[in-house]
Amino acid sequence: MRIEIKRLAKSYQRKNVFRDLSWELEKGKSYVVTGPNGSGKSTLLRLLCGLEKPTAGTITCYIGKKVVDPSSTRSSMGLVSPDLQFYGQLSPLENLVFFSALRGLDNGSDILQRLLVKVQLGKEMSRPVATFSSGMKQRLRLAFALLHEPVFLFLDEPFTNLDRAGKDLVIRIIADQVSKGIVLMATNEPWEVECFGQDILHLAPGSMGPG
Amino acid sequence: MGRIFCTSLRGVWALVKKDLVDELRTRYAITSMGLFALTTLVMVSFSTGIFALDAGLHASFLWIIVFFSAMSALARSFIKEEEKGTASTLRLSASPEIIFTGKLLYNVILLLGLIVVVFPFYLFLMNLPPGGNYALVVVFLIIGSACLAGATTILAAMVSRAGAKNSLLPVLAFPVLLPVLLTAIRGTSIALAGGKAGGVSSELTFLFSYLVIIVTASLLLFPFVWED
Repeated sequence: MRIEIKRLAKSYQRKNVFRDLSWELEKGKSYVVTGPNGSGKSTLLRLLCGLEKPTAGTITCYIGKKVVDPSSTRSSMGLVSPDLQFYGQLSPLENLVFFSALRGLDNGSDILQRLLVKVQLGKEMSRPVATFSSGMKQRLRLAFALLHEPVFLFLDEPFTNLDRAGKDLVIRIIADQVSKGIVLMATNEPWEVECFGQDILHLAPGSMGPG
Repeated sequence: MGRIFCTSLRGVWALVKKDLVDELRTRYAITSMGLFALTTLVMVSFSTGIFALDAGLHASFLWIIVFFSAMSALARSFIKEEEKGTASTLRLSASPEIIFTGKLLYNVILLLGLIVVVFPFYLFLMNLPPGGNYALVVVFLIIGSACLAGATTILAAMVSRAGAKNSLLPVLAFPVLLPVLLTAIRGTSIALAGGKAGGVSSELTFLFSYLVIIVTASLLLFPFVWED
């Protein structure tokens, strides 16, 4: 299992976020991308998930020795990001049932309920998401990212808004995921970089690859 | 192949169901569309009540009411996803084709719901000429609505990231939908005057062809609109 980033560049309206970025990520390690605001951490994660297209360069994902077809990479990737929102009028269970059906998964309601219990939303299963606190929404993002058991997990500031129990949950999820595949986290917190950065990418605005 | 088709159908149905449940809980589109339609209908009824209108005018009024009521609600299908920040979550979860087909079906259902309310009220409030072929009128309303929904869905996706989203759609939709409206008005007018299906075959063929072309072109175009 491997992700190969080659000479990746992204710019918005001629302004470079980063360019000539090359990096290789392999199974069994947790990776951290860090850097000041605007250095392109979230953009890199969005590019890896296919939510944005690079200005130049390539991203190739391998499962075993087989290249993952770009049109189906999303089924092997999970993303936790503050950009991801859910339907406020629906309960977390209804949201997961919906996204599960969209992904073509055969997850029964009991599997989804167990997932919600895992992210400590077991008691809030039937409450509309609109009434959730920021921390509860972050837990739902974790459940959403794990819904299809992805091999590549991308976490953008995953500890944001979480209490102690929530942070412990994220630590457990990362430990579990490292054994199954690849974890890449974007963060600015020094303790998160230190704890999870087995390989660290430092980005600076308009940067040219790993520092 | 069959499994992929079934999975896609499940995804489409999930999206339609989610939008319907969301709509029934918020009632945003139903309220704006229903109130706009009923207010316009009552205004038309009061302002023309003393005149005996011919079939052509009735058909024009009916389609104008349907068009503007639809514009106030159908634009929301994609705009609400962008505004609520759920568009990225959707992009991560399904292929553009599933998203487009689901949104299109939801818009068709919404428009047919509008027609179920507006047409009986129109019959009740306006003095329609006797002897009309109402079954054929309903056929025109159904196929015309599907055309409206087809064009509006792709245009709504295009304008959903623009600044003045809500006001932009009717302006953009007008030239695209003008041929549909003119044909639907002509066909409905003939049907209201008592015409038979054989007399409106060219109108029906045009609307059906338009529907096939707009849906096919939209399915090809939508991935670029949705993902770029």
